[in-house]
Amino acid sequence: MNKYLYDLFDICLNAGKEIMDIYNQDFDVEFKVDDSPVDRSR
Amino acid sequence: MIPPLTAADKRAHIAIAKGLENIDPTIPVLSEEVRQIPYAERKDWEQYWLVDPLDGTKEFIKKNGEFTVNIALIKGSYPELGVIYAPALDTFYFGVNGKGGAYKLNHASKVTITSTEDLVKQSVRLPEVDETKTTHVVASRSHMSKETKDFIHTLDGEVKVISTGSSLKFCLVAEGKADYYPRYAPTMEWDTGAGQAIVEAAGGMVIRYDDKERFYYNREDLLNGWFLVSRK
Repeated sequence: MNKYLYDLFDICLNAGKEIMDIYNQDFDVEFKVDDSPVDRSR
Repeated sequence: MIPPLTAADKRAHIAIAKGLENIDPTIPVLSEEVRQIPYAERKDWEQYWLVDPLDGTKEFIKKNGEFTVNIALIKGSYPELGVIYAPALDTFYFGVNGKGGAYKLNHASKVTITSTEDLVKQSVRLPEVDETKTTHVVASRSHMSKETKDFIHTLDGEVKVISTGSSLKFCLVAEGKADYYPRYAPTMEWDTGAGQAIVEAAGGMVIRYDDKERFYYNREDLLNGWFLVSRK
């Protein structure tokens, strides 16, 4: 098995905690879906 | 005030960047948050981390829990290893190409894991669901294109469409809960690297729509072409 796996597991849990800190707060955001064509010129 | 989505994305990115730096500071990182690395610099990379700190922005805003943290290790042009963590569902998926296999760990943050071997031992090997007579197709709720509908019409027998958000669509195929995931709409490299590693490690395939070749990475244009994920 890959030698990085255990570290990646730990990293994901830490990142997940950061996300959940915000996610669990009360927030209400107006979210607009952008269906416009992707700009390929960049 | 920083919008919640941006704040979550940035905080996750910082945690991941720090962690990856500690693992091996010589492996570069290509992330949705650090996307401006020029092709001239990255084209000679032998390996790199491909990261999406928060995949599933719509799901985060909608608060349905179907968002993920994605990290893949790309070697050459193909994913060698991929991990996907859904923090709200507390489920961790991982896959290692070759003989590594793909696995899922439920209640990931509640389980005491002490090593890679322990991680594998406490996880469920994928696919966990046997094939059924019904063909299950995973399709995005917000990206059901005409081509996706056309693909579904080419399938024989009973077909059921199932939906989920973010890279969890790849995980449904790896788990065996879906047979196909046609993605005939734009995505970026960091949206797919980890998912592809997990699906391939579970015995599946991710094939380019245009030439039916295996999906590859570190292209000049980080915008993905269309692709089809299949269980076999």
